[in-house]
Amino acid sequence: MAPWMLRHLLVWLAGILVVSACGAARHGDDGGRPAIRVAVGSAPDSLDPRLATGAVGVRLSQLVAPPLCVVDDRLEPRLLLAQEIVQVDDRTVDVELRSGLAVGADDVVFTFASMLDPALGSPHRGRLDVVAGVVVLDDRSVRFTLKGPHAPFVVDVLCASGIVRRADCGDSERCRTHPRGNGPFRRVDDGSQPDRLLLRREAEADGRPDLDVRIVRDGSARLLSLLAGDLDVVMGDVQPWDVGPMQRAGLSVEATAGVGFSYLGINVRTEPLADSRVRRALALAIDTKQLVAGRLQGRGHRSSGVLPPGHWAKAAAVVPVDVDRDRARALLREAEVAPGTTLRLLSSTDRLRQSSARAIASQLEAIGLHVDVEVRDWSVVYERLKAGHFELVLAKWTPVVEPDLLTTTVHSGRIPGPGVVAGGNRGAFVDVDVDGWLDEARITTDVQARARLYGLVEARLQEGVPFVPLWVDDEVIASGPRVRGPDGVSPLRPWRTGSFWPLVDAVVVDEGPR
Amino acid sequence: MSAPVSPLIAACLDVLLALLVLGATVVSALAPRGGLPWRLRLRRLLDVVATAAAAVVLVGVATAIVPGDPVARALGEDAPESARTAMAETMGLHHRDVLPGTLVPLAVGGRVLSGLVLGLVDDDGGLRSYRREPVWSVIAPRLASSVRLGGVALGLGVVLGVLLGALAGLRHGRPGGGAIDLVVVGLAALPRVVLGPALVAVVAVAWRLLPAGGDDDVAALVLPALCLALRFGGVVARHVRVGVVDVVDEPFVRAARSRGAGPLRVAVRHVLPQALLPVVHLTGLQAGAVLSGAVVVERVFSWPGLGTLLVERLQLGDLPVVVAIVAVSAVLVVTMNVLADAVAVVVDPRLRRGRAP
Repeated sequence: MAPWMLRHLLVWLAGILVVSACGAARHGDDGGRPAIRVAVGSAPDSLDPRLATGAVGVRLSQLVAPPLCVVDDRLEPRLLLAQEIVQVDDRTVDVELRSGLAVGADDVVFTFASMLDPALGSPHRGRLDVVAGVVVLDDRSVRFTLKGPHAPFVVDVLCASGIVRRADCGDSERCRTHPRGNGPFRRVDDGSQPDRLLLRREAEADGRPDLDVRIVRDGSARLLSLLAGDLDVVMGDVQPWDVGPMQRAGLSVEATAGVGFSYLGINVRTEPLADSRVRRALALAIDTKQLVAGRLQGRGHRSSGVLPPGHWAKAAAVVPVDVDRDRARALLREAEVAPGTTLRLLSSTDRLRQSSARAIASQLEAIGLHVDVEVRDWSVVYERLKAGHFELVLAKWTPVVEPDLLTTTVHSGRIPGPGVVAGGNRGAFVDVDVDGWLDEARITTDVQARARLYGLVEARLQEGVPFVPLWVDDEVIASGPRVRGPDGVSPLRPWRTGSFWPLVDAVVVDEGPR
Repeated sequence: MSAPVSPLIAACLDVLLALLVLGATVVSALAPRGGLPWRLRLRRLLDVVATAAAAVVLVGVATAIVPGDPVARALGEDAPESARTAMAETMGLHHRDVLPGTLVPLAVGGRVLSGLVLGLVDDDGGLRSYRREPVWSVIAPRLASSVRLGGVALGLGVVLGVLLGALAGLRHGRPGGGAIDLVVVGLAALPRVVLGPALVAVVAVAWRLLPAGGDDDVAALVLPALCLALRFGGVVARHVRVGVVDVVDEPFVRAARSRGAGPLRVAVRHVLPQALLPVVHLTGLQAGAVLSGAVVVERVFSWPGLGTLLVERLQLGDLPVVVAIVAVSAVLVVTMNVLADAVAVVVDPRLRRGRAP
């Protein structure tokens, strides 16, 4: 290589460095407004509530286009856009909107009509199968007519469907990424900066902050960015082992019992798990107290069934099963399960799931069962679950707010197969009594009666053991010194449902270094 | 407005396209090399196009062969029939209705390729992601991010590697040489999954000098680029060191010294130029991979590049975006190799005369 070539090469290299670096010199224009930098663990699939299905997409879409009601910390519906929801009869529900909203009755009808329209391709259309029609009564009132009595209607449909404005979403592709409803925020970035969304206040609100949402996929990166002061808040996705370092660094970590139900799924089609005595033996051998204290480092609660503690439909008599390995061994002997029998436990690659799977395997060794832990990518786990190709699986249902989720998970009509919608009974559990109670609870509008029926179901599930309840994760918000709750002093507190609504009233107390 | 084509004809055209692409790639690979320079250049260009096209077709074929329902994987099992039909059409899986099973994978391969090419000229007509975004609009900002990071990292890596390698080679067998060798080997062996968090913990958290992640400004680029560059620089340094050690005692170098040239002049004018040729090839090999995404570094530094997008969409089963990334990666890898070969021919006259160096 001639010297002139070497010089040229160096000049080119320097040029590449400068041009490449300059390409990075861009920043969303925040106009000097205060903004809370919030980290979430994955990209929202959509901000349009009619299309969003992922947790982040659903929660962010609520800030832009909230629904008529939300599920509060008592896990009951709380009116939001609606002034009143009236059950006229078992097939008719009238909704009156609050006054002064940016959305009206026409927008409500448009939202539900578009979700029912196959052209939109809304993944929530199945939920609306129960709706026979939605009509405008006046500017602020709509009437829903149902095909039949459907008790979960308010929580599953009204509280889960954000209302968008017809004017913005009537015929616009932009609505998929920049929808507008009656939320406190609207998205203002143009999407050119991947992994970052800027949500600006719809109205000037006494200097209350905008939201600068950043997608930070790696748990360690979220922790380090928060410690470095590059982030203000991490919503959810706080791993139990990150809590200690956060607290030691003086960050605020607030937790509350969540609504995610982690369980050991059992395929009752396989031997020896078809025998309920073997399944009961598994439940008696697994020490959930130890799992919560060890694997979750106390950031969770033992679970007794699908419904989370404190839920209005949770029966007081249904409590977590205590460890009794002698009884478990006796049950295995009764069922003539030979010592050393091998079971296969499927887990996703998630770090917490993997380590929990190994802990469970070692606990089951104590009653003479050998457990092979198979760790697979979640997409593979999901495919195998649907196809019924598993013996044991570590999985999670979330969010559990409407007790009718039990129908999805254990009703015999929900065993995955051709033509089955929402086939969540992947272990193929069958109990005709349970089916009957669930069917009845679906059409019973009396809350007490429903609670009694779900109590019966959960008690029966503790005998039949279609899955071993493990724990309910805590919902956690970690925040730095810049951000505080509405009073400017107390830290941000999470909602049980993991909603991002606490950010609406959050304030920035110290501009400090950003 | 185009006239509607019957499903059978459309399916056959997709199969034909896939067969043509795969056939052309095989023929191109087997055909003898050589001939006039302009023909060689044309062949190189065709190699780039054929490799990218074949990669896309093969990913499409593989998707149709692997067990499971790719549409359900992308949309979830509860998706309405309309959304399933649209996605099946996007992926070419609707050909299952009109073609024998053995031909369906080829039809899917052909369909995704034609959809990808069409998307380059017409957003509405081309492939769309499972969220119904035009695939190129998903890819473009990520590609820009990856190229920005990769470009800076490669530049830094080459500069660092050449300097360190030259120093290691010139100090070979002298006091301090062993320590420099150790640094070079250490850099080359350092896993990025360790180096990345360590850099963040020290520079961003403890010293608060630079941002821990994101792509907001130039400062945010420094740590991820450094993380990529240190390892790449270590590898470059090892090659440069070997080259320098090989030529440092050659007669032409001794002659230069005997003519009174100083150590710096000897190193820059006589030793380094001979040692740099392997660096050109090495950079070409690494460049394609680095520019098309560096998953670990992107995750650790929350850098929105192609690597994380690929992993994310693979998990979601978003075939259209996956094949688009594969196509871009294939083009980048092959192009960078072609460029490296071209640069090598320019810098080494022996290659121009068709002799091995």
